Amino acid sequence: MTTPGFRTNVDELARHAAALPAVADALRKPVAVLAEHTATPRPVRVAAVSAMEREYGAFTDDLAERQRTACDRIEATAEALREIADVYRRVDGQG
Amino acid sequence: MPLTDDDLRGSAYRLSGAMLRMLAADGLNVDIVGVPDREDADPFAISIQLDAEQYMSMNPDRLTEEFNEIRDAALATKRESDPAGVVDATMIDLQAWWTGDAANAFFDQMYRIKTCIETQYEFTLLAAQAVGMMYAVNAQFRASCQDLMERTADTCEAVITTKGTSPGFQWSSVATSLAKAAIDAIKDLDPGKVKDWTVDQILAGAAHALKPEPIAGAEAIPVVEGYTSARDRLFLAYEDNLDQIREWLGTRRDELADSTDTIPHPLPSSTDVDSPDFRYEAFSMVGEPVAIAAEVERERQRYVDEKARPDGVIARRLADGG
Repeated sequence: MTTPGFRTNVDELARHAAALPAVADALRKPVAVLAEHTATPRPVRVAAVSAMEREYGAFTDDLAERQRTACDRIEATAEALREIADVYRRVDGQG
Repeated sequence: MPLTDDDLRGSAYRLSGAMLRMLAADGLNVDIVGVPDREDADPFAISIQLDAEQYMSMNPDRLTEEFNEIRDAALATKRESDPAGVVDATMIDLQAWWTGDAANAFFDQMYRIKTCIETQYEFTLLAAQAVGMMYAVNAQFRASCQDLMERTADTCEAVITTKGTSPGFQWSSVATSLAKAAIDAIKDLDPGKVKDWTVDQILAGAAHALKPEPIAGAEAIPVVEGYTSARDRLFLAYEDNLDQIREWLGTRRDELADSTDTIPHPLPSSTDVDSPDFRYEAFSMVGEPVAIAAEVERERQRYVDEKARPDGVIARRLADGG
């Protein structure tokens, strides 16, 4: 037998687990912009411009990769919390 | 607004015409193809046009577009990722009601999600700031180049009208330090301000740091030499400033790579009900007797078994996407 507060807190846990993927979805939206690089068209190639643009591209790629990784891990965290809530609901006789 | 490619082409056209007239007035013919004649005029004009095209090595319109997109991405990351405060609410509940190693791991994860959002916002704004630097340097470079071409053309006209007598001008450094002043002004900006700015505001900020220097010329050959050496210095200064932006970006990139604690980590196995490492004790409710631990383990095992069954409720739900 669980205490009365158990059901309430497990329900809250499930609610948070259900809400967290929206955070990941929202964070995923700017990733495409960060990962997209359109080279500046130019009539003459200037090595210093190319080198600087490569560094800029690498920096925004790093940002995009971090944000993508963060989204994946937020989703995994939400899923882990949801599964705990599922198991605890069974313990509470709801499953 | 920065000078357009057509502005630069127009100045190059004027300069090549004025320079050829000045050389002719001084009794000189351009000799590019071996025998000085009219055939040399076109390659000479083309060489000045090629100079102008070097000055167009970045496109201000594209940089404006990039600045706006990256700034908007930063703002979206901060403002739209968690408008309902889900992460904070989860942290509060975890801290108030749940205890054990797994609960702590979830709490730490929520904290990292919060700091990750803030870090991504700050560093994305720094990327926008870099684009602002590129824009300002490029805009000032274009302005300096046009200034050089127009002043050189003015000098050529003066040499023609004074019939070879020095108009009294002197060549000087032709604004070759402009771009450095621009970049120094921008890289010290408060990144927090960038979110509300446009690239033209950044350019205006850079312009305060600039002090245009007068240029001058003399008779025909010194004018041509004065132009080419000033052009070379200007271009070297431009490349030097692009290198500074690259180095600045490299430093920001290193700082980002070092921020390993500002990104969510993979969770430990004690948080995963699929793992035998999961225990009620690792994620237990405050005030709830650990006596239910055995029951939790039974339900956990049943849950895992059902999940493994292809026709089980859980497996079907997972197949349907949740």
